[in-house]
Amino acid sequence: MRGFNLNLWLGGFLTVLVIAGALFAPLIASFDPVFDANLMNSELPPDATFWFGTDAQGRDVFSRVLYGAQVSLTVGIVSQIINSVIGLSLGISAAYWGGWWDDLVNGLTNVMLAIPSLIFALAIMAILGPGLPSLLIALGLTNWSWTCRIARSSTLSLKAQNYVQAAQTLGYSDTRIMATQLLPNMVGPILVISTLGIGSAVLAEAALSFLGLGISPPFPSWGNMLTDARELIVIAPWAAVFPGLAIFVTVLGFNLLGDGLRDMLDPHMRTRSE
Amino acid sequence: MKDTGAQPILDIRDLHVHFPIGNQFFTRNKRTLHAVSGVNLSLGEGECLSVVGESGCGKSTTALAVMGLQEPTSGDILFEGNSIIGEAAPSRMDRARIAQMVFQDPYASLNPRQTVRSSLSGPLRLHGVTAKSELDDRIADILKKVDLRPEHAARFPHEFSGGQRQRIGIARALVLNPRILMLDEPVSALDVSVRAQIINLLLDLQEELSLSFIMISHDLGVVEHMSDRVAVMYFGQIVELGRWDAIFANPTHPYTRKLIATIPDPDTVLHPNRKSALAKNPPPPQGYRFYPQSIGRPDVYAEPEKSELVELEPGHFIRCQAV
Repeated sequence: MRGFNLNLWLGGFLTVLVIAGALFAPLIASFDPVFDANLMNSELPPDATFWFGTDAQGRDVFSRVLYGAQVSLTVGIVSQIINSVIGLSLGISAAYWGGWWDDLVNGLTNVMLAIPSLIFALAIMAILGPGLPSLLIALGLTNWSWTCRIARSSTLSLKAQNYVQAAQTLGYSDTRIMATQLLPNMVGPILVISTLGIGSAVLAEAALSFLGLGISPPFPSWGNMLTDARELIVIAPWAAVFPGLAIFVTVLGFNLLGDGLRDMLDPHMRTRSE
Repeated sequence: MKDTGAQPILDIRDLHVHFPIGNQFFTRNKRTLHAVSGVNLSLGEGECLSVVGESGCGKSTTALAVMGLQEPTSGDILFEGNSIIGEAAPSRMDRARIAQMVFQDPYASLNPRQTVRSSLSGPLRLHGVTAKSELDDRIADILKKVDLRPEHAARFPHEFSGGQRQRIGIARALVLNPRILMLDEPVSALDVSVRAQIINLLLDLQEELSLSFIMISHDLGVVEHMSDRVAVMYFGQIVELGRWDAIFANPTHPYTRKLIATIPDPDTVLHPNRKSALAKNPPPPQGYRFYPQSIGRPDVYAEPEKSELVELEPGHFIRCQAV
């Protein structure tokens, strides 16, 4: 590897930081994010006890940001997994089988690209109602079009390779060819688009919760923390700044990681180690 | 030349492959490309049949049809007397034991993300070999057959040279013990120094495993060395078919003569007659004229004219039109 891949290392560091925060929230947080409300402590600025200050109900913002990370990362990662599964199976099968199925999937992808995904997610949330499961479904169903595009174009170039024909003559079924011959050869671009997708899902979750359609209070998510803090922005800016910073760090981390992975997996950037 | 009096192992009957050209929505004048127009070929047990001709003459399309990778427009392909296309086609699993293919490009023919071991164990597992000891034995055995070492199994394709990769490709083609090997330009992507090794390996394997070969090639030197019979294809049709010695010593059809005249021949001392023999064209058989008459750029979208294969001497056919 020539040169230092700053994106990869910085993105990886930020991502690991956020994931560790979410995983070890019960160990790190000194207060309960929901029930340790105390109006005597309301709107305190950051100090040694309340590292990020307190909100209007006197809850510790630091603890709430940590527990909010669990929600954001769950939503980001799980909805991106749903997106990847949908995008990969549609994209690979469309390109491999072609014909009317390809036309159908292409049309669907174009429609999905034309509708702003946040508006679409809003509509699904409005039907399903707020809550974590509907958030996962709404964001998992609306952001698969880029994955599908990339899977389709990768398959188109890969299926002309002789080893795919060889697998067919060796008796491999179509689904086995897709799983063993096509999928492993597109992990690079798919990994990149997935990390970028996690970033945008975290943002979308924040936006939906901010609009009151995501995680319902009093349970913390970065989006509904911002909603609550909006009215106090002049009196207690820390209640808004820290969840906002958390969103910023997480999205930046995943995007840098995606860019870094792209550089690392790009064969033109890679030199043989031997 | 082996005895081919018995039933052929593979029989291609009046094979046609046509491709529709043009988008159905935006162009009204849909055209049909006649890639293969009425090919009849039979492959004897243990025989090596070469199909030669220029790029685009339909030889690869014929090969793909035999492999089940291209649906023919019409015609039939019989394996040991049973049809293997259309409704009677065997499943992909059964077909895998009939014929396997060795590809031209050893770099595109191996999955870069699979070790040699998993390239070979995948098909074996699929076909019911699941015990680890048996898998190991079969893989070691097949690697030995193609002169690779057992420890090569753990490596990825990019760790091998072109010649070694082609050996892996041959090993993969043989791992299910097929009866027929389709060789699509098996050595033309390799270094000249490696070609002879691969050719000799293929000939040894043919004898050891009693395989039948169909070889697609435009390297006439390799064809002359390996084949029992040669079929010369030109724009979707066979124009000359015969034993290799008849084709190379006594090429009759104008296209075959042109093709053979292109072989660079440094040792005219050894073949003093070849160049001079090619200079004067033999006449077509009585009552016929050669078809196609002129070698240029035929219209691939048009149905070829009616013509037939005329037997010049036993087993030696040329394409002619009655006058």
